[in-house]
Amino acid sequence: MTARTVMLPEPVTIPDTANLAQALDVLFRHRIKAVPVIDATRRYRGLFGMHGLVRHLLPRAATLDDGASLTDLTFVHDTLETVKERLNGALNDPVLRFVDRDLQPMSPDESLLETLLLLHRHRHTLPVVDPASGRLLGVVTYWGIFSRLTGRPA
Amino acid sequence: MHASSGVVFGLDPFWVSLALFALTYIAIITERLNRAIIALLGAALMILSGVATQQASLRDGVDFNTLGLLTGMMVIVAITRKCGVFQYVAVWSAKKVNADPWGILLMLTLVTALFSAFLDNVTTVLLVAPVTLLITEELKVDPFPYLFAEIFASNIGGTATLIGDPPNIMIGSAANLSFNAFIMHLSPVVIVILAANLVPFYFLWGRKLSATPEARARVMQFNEREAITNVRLLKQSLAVIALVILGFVLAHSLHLEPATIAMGGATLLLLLDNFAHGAERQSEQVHKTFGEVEWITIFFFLGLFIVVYGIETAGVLKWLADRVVIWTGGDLALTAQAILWVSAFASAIVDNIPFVATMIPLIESMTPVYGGAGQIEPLWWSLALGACLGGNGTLIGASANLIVAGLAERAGYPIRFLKFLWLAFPLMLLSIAVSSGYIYLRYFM
Repeated sequence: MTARTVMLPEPVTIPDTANLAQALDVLFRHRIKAVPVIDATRRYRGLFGMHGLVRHLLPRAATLDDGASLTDLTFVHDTLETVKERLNGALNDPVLRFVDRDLQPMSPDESLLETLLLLHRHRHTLPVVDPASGRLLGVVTYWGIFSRLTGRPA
Repeated sequence: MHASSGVVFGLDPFWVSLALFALTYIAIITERLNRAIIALLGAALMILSGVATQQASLRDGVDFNTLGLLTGMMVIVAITRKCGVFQYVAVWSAKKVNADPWGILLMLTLVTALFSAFLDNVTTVLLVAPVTLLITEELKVDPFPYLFAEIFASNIGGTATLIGDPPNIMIGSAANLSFNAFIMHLSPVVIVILAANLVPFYFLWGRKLSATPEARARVMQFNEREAITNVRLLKQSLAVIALVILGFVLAHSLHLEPATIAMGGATLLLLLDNFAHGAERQSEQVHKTFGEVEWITIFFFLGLFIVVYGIETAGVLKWLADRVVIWTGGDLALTAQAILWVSAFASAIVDNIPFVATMIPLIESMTPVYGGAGQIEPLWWSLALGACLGGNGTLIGASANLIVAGLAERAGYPIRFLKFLWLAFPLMLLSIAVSSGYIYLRYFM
């Protein structure tokens, strides 16, 4: 058993020419949390998802990482309007600005348990990419795994 | 030169140690390898080549007082920062000036200088810069002036006390200068230098900074009280810090070394932070706290001390000190000025820690020529002022500068090397000119 056998082939994708508004549209339409971004030749460019987007709703100083970020934001009282402003200001930006670049795509030959471990660690959809061509082959998702395990439709 | 007893291939220890020292320095400047690896490698080669023995290096070369003081303060900060007190102070100071952009720049500069006088500079900017980025984002103003001013303030403020900057810790420990001596000799001129830098800050940025009333209102809505996450820990931390500072002030009369006080304070705070918890939670918390100690810096120091001990024991530094005395004609005032300016230029280009680690034994070996430890005290103040303030000259001049640049870059406001240099180098020269006048007037008039 490998990642290839439990992945969902032909997943929903977003073209890398899309802007944030169009990408957000895709998430809403399909009610999914994360979607791979691909170029015209189906090469994988990054994962666009709600989790990465929430980061852009926050002040930049809160997401600097490496122990240098603010410890919390309890003392800041931004309103819904301010947060909306932040989102609206970015709607025309290219989707590639918002993809998770740190996430390493998986090889289709990854073992089943390694696949489960990666899913457990990353807590979201994992893209499966052909290492030679860089093309997107499918995605490993919670729904895909449990539908294989329980026999229910994904 | 020197008899080559235990050195490999019967080589002269003078040249072997000098070559190893030079290679270590070059490697540090090129920054291809992590600085701790370089220093430890240099130290290992000093011992393996037979220039120095391990026993003598650890006993006479490594200044455990410096290492203990640094580690102790790092532990205290690691615990204290958890309670949110630094965010509290930054937000409080911004609101005190009604979120006026120039007022905030002034306040954050002063807060940074004050914090860094008592904490490590890197720690200080790590605490202040994120809040600064938050405030400037809410105000919709360019963060560059603020971050620039904070870099300057951290290096200037750090100069003021024994514990403010690693060079001072090393100098104080080696020359047996007390916490109070640093306050008496350096704090007055540091205040003048800080004030002198605020004038160009105003003309460069202050008079042009403005924010909309709505943006200022957003900052005024920050509630700094909510930044305090743990009131009990806050009280404990502040009490321990007060005790530690009191300890530094009294250290000389109590015959205690700064490392004892810092490590003692760190241990006390660890105890207060942990005794109420179960065994498992304790090891988890203690492990995490120790993990926040900057071991790269500690091991960098350890290695450098041994490298410098190598050239010291092989007679290189004595030889160099004799040359300096000849060049300056044995004139103490001239030597003080030379040390100040050379230290400033050197520290703007290389890390001031290896520079000061080398200068300390060099100055020590000049002591007899100038008539004893009491006579050469101005040389120590020159070294401290030059090495600490010189770090402001370039973006790579001090660790704090690089840390701020890294944070700014990740927040989307990169600080360019040349843009920084263009403003910072002349301002650094201004600081050194003020120091130069101070040294002359106070010690040689």
